[in-house]
Amino acid sequence: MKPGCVCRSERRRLARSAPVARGAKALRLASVLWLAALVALWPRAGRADVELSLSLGAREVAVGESVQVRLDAMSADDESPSDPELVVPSGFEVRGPSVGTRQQVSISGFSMVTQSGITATWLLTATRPGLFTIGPATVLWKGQRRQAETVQLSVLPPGQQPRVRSRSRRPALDPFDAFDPFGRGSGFDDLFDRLRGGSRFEQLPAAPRDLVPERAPDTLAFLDAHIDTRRAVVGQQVTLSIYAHGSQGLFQEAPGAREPTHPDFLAHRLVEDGSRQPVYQYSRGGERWIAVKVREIALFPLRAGRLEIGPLEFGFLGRRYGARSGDGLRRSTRPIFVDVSEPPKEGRPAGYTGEVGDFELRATVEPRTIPAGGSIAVSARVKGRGRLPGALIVPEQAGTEWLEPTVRDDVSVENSVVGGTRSFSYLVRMTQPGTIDLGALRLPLFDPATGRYRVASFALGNATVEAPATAAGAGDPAAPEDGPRLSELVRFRAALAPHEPARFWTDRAPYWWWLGLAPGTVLAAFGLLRLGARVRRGLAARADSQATHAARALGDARQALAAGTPAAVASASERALYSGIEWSTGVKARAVLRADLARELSGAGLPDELAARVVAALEACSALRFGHADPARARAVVDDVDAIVKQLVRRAPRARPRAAEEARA
Amino acid sequence: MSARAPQRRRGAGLVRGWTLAGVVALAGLVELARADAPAPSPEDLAKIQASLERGAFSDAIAELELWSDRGVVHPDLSFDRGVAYLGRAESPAKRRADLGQAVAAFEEALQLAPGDEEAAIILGRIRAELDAGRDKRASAGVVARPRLSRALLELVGEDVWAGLGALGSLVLSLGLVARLASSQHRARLGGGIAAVVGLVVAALGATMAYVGHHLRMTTSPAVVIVEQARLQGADGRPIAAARGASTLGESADRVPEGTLVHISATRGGLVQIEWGDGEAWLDARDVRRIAPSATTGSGGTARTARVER
Repeated sequence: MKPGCVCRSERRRLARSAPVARGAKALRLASVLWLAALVALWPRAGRADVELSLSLGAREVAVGESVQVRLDAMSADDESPSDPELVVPSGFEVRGPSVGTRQQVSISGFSMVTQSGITATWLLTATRPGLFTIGPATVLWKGQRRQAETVQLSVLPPGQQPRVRSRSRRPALDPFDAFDPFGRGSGFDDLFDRLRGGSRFEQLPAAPRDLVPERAPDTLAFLDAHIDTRRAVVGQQVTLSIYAHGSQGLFQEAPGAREPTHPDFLAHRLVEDGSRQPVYQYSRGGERWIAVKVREIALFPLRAGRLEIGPLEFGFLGRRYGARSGDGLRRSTRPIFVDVSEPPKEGRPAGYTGEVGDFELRATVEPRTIPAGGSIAVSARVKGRGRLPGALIVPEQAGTEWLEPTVRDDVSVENSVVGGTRSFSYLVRMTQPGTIDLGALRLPLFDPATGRYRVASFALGNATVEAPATAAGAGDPAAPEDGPRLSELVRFRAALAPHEPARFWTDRAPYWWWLGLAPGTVLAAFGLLRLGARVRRGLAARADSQATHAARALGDARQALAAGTPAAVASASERALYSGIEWSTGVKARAVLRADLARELSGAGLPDELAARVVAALEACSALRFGHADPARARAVVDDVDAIVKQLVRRAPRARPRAAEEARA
Repeated sequence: MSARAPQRRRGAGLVRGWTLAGVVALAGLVELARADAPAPSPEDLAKIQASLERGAFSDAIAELELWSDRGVVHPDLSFDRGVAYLGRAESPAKRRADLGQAVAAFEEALQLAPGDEEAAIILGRIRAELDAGRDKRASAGVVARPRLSRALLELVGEDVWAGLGALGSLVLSLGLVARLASSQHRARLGGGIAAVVGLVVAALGATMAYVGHHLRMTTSPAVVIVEQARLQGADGRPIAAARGASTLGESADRVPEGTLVHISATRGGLVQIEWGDGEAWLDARDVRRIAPSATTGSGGTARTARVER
């Protein structure tokens, strides 16, 4: 078969397949149409769900700073999302949510889509550093909770500041920077050169007197920090204002300023930079200075004590300041300390939770008549100066159920004082029929201006709750389902029983004394008794000792000497000597031959000289007894014996060895 | 001259009299200042009771907390505070920490009056309910066992150990008397044995009593009032390192609501607690300290309410 030629059989085959091809073409066309219809309808079908978006005001904050968390929940359905909730890890103070409604119209595909929804805003204040996952945030939609993605937030420790600031990324020469008060943008140096010599400098407003420092700490540029009060109570606003002063003309703020640290304060920035602040001029020592407020921060102390506000480090950019780019001429403030105390305890009202400021409270109630089980809306509005209060005290009572309020904020700053309005929208479910006095909303607060507590309150009036038509069988929804509740097991004690504080034995010193004193006393008593007995025995032994005998014999000898009886003197002196010898050596000298006595005594340990004197004294006694009765000689013998006995007695007593005694026997 | 002398003496006498009166008045004022804090009057209590009966639990709690802030300590006031918190916890106005606050209040009542059976029973019931609620959740916290010394102390109480020490001292003394004074062999032997036993008992009792006294002076009890208090390191970072032999279960990075802990130190916004055999830190706002029942090292002497009768 030649190429390009269609033979008969081929034609027949093609003729048979034509209806099939037409069917396939129709199928393709139908598919395309179906897909087109699907595409046209797809956006509406896709938006039948709720769109959730969770966003942060900043990705990085320091401890004590606040960040706004925003949840957008939009739905194309008639039913708008409600009841936003946010899961926040520990380490944050949470305010909110503040909920607002939104409507959005968009063209998508071939249709116009109307979306409605809510925007819930929370204010998170970081209390400790770390990397935190905020969320998930959820809303209630068609009876189901829908969840948004989580977001990450980095909280820096106190002392560090977030790296990213809008002004830090700003180019050094900002044509919209109001530091150039005449709007000349990048030519400010030249302009100020002209100003220095010209008259336009004078066009700047003169600096208020309290803005001009008594002395300039630097000849080129410096920072001056003020706080409005050095003493405050916890929660009271302390305003930190920092002015930059320069003598070399206009300047700009260099990127990378180190912000003041304030770990013990909640901060609300009133002035972020000086670009929208008035520039003042003043003269000092022939120099022309300009001053501009570069920071103003409302600080709310979180605790009592001497709290520190760290320094601000700031760079002056400008040709005459030696730097037109980079870090600039760096200057910093000094740390500032604030003495913070707790609000006084005297006069503190019940329910006070630390709110400080001056606020007024208003509220509306709608409707006033509802069926039992229905709800009324109570809209309260707190307006005034100070940190907006976190909660109101609601008048609880049986038969009313106050749901968590929706909070909406409108923070304002007036004359550098933070204040504004916070609205609390409550739904109150009423379950008991009748005319019910709703009571009053209350807000106890401390006003630092007057130094007194005050309770802002608003009476809500009455509400009429109509009995339901089918009252039979309809019980209290709050009634327990099974068994008594725990709170029904205990009763309030309306009278205080007499009570003595617990005292422990170990808090009393006598207990510890008793532990050691009792056995110690026993031991001491028996020790003393034994000591006494031993002393008595010693004294008795001493009374019967040879030394005592020797002393007595010497006394007898002196009496005999006085009586003039030499024989008695000799006898008593001999007794004294024998007793002394026995005391000193243990030798019974009477039984020893006089000729052997000296050797015996030496053998018993007596010095030879003393032994010889003993023997001589004994001989003298014998001579006195049997010889001429010369009183002088008798006195000499007594004195000699006295001296010898003293020497003998001074020696330690010595018992005669038993073996020697036995040998002698 | 002689006429002026009596006047001068009278003047000096007046000065002395006024000085003496001033000293007496000052002493009286000091004594008044040291006196016990006045308790709420029956009218105050009736007002609080009326608030509770009409369902205004927050009003009652605010009044009772005000008395607590004034330093008034009384077991019945603590009990009433527990009743108010428990009532609110079971009402539509319930708040997250209410059950923990109720546990803290009843625990305080029990510590102030250890014989209060009603407080003990309701405390057990609340803790059982908290445990039951925790069992339903996957991320339940863990209660660490107390350390051995505290467990031994809580076994019988500090005063019992102190009494044991005193008894041991007495037995030791009598044994010594018998041993030293008697001449009979059996009496001397018995005395010796009694002295040894008394010495051991006295040493054990006195040691445990001292440990109890030391723990009481250096730590203060508190109750976790949030659903789960996160365990932290000294730098404030979350930790799970306290897991160990002294803990029950696996997860040990959180302390559940209603747990009694013992605070041993405070730094900034953190409190150090005994955790098993070790230490850990908690956010101070997650716990409520219990008013001291007697002299302690951390809280000083409790100001006991003066009850007018």
